[in-house]
Amino acid sequence: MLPADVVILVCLVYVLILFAVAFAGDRRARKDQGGWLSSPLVYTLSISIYCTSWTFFGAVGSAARNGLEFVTIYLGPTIVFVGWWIFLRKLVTIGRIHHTTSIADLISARFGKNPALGALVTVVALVATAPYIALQLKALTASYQVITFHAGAVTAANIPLAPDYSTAFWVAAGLCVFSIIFGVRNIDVNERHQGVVAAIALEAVVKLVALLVVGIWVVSSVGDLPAGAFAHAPVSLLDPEGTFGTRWVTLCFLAGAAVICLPRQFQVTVVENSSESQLRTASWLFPAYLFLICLFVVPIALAGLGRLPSGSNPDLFVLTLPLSAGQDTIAMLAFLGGFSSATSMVIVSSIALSTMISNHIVMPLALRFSLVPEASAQMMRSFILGARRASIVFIILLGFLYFRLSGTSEALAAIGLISFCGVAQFLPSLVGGLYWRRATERGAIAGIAAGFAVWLYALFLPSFGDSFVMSATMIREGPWGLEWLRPHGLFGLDRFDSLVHAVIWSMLANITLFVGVSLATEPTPLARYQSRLFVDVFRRQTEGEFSVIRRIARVAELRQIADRVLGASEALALFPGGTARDPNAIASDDLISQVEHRLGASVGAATARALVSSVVTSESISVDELKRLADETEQIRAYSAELERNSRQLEAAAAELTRANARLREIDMQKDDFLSQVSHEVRTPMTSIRSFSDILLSNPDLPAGDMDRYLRIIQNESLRLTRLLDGILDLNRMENGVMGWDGRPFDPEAALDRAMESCEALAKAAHVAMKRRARASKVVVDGDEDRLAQVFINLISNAIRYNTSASPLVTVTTAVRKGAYEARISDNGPGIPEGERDRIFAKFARGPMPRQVGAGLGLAISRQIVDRFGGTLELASPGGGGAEFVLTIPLHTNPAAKRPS
Amino acid sequence: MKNAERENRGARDAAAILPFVSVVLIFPPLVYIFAAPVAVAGVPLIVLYLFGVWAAIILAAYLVSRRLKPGVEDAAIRASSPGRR
Repeated sequence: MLPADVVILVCLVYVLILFAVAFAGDRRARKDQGGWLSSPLVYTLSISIYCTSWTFFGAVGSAARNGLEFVTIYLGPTIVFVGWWIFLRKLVTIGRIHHTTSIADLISARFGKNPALGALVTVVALVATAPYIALQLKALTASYQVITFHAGAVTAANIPLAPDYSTAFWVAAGLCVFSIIFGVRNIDVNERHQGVVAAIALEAVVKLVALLVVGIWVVSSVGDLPAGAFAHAPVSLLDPEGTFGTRWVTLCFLAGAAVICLPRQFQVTVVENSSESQLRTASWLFPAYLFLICLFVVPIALAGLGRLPSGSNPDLFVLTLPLSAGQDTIAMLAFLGGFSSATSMVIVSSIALSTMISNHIVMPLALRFSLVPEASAQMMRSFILGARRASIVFIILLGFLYFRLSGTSEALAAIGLISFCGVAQFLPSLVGGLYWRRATERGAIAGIAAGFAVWLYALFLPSFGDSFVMSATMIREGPWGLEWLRPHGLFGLDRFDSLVHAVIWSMLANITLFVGVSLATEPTPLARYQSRLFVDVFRRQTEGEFSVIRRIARVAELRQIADRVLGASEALALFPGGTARDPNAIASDDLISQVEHRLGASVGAATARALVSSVVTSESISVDELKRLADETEQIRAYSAELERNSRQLEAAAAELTRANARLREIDMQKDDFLSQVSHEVRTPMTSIRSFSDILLSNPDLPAGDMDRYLRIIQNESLRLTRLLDGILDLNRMENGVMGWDGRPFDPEAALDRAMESCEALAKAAHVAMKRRARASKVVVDGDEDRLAQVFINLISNAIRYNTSASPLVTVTTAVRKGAYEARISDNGPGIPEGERDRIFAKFARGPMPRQVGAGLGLAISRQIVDRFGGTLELASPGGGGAEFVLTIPLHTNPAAKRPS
Repeated sequence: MKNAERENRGARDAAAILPFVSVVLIFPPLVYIFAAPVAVAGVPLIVLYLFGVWAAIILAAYLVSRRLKPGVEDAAIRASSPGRR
């Protein structure tokens, strides 16, 4: 044994050295920020607070109990750091650019600076860290008890020592003091604590050296290397197949998650990081540190199993082995190693957590209930510091309570894994937040809350045994005897051990809700903006928030806040001199964002936003800007869609133009044709008029009969000429729509009757029979009655005129079909040859008949008129012979006038 | 210059692949091959395998990190990042 006062003295001296190092580190950091304190080596050593007394004592215990399983706790982080290029680099860069103060700050900032999310993360982290701190207290207390046990260490390790809670209490109190003195002397920008980093780097060296010394001593004391070292290997090591089951994978996953999500790991890895080169070195140096720490764990465990009496606590082999051999110096070094690992963990954890508590729970509440002293800058700062100090005491007290309540039955590793599973609940939101734009704040809250609840129920609460909340029967048989609700076998899944079981269910609930709720909800505009900044951190330069969010605030009031939180000298740097003179000066968006950014580095993004919002009088989000910032691919997609649409429109327009051009050419050609036809038509009667008038003039003594005949011819030709010109004029007026049009509802049957009457004389002269078949009754159409009659006359007279049949017959049939008035005029003449069918509706087209009398404009004019009615005039497909014209006109549309009485 | 760029890209790819290779090496099923109850010079094979693979991964990470040069993007970030205290 070692005398208690010697041990305490050594510890106190050691602590004093740490103080000195921390002080020197802080002073040096203030003078020269690029010095050795921010070297990659110190950074890596500070990350190795991952190795706590769980590692120092517990790894050996775990190796003695479960063989190689202890390696998982170091393989997980090895993979994460070796794969830094994929995830850690992004995380650290975001933390560095956005001055992140804690994991709660990062998650809440990513999801729209959501205060509720920050508070939730803080609470989860707080509860999850309690077992971890209890673990350190337990290890410290047990190691102290063993090293100072009056009957000798071997006996001490052999009997179940009741934990000495008074020792534990004093240890906890000492840790509080140390953490407060170091961690929260000032609130400085960035929350970086270089003094503390220096101290924990020293502690990292001490614990590594201590474990290596014990290891080398153990190995050198056995002969026949290397086989001798494995002489007492347990079955789990010799036949290790059972080690690599689901538990192996789960533990690797948990350890990998914990090295990112544990508040203290986040603090040293992300918050204290100052350059990428630090991380570049740590990517291999930290795994190398872990490798060295683990190198002698197996030999020490095996030596302990072989040399110490069976039943000895394997968690203390590191200490009891040298003690049992009388190596007091090595034992003291081992004790100091354990002391280092425990204290550094508790200090950094409590600093990180106290920042989270003050930024995400105390400050928002104080702001909400106006408890923040506004009197002076000094008071505001001391309020924040007070909150942090109180938080540290609270955190360590919570750890002590867990230690007291849970009893001490479990191995160190088992207690630590409970914490790991708790903080792993941040992983989905953290990873999702960094890579998935669509992730929303509600999704994150739902996921973390659900995972936390499952973890509490399935792992945390049962870990107290029956001493807290849950009774032993409830743990064994489920609440109210409900088998499927057993904490260790939810829904009957009991083929895994309690840890794997809790990880499976909590992660399942967490990820499912995170993804599901994210898909079902829309992010707030600010969250959308933040997601862009975070997800695209490598792609784009950070633009000021002012481009999206327009806020109005007075410079004087902003200055006041900055003064209070940052201190006068810090605030002065933010405000260009002289702006404070005018009390009503309005701050630019740029300045407001800058102040918020700087405040965020001290009190967290959510709180900084709340503080700035308290003096902002109006806030508006520019929708256009947000749209502009919308997902880049979305933009490109929208742009290309627009291009496509434009080109389609252009194509359509070009096709339209082509069609129009073709139509114009056609019309032009028709016009030319028309002109030449008109000249031709006019020329024939003119020629005959001229020649007959010539004859009359040159032969004044013509017989009266001849003279009379010639004059009649001249008159007939003139009449024909007039008809022709009338027809052309008609057609022209019709085409230009200037023809008189008497539009009103009328009965088409009446027009037809009139037309037939007027054609009767013509029919009689040509000996053509006219027959009226079926007729439509009570039909009303819209349009000009006279014009329709004109069409009918034209059709009927054509039918009469061109009928060469022996017993010529014209048949007229009318009906209402498909909502339209339909008239069919057919004859039993020769019909219209196939090649002429299209041509007959053209101008100056006449039937291929010898008895030509018309101008050849009748059908063209008729078609124009029918078009004007909105109907069609067509030649029916040839049936039994003869021609049949079909005229269709839509019925009158006004129902009131449809049935005139 | 071009050569260096190519080398850098290769290193980046290696950095991205390395963690996945590590996972394959230390997770079942591959690890079962070495989980047989066999000892080499008195040391269980699985101990040699795990620690050997671990050391190899660290060595690989060291080599990769030495070859990785800060990309253009990182330089840009560094330039834009506000003055740190």
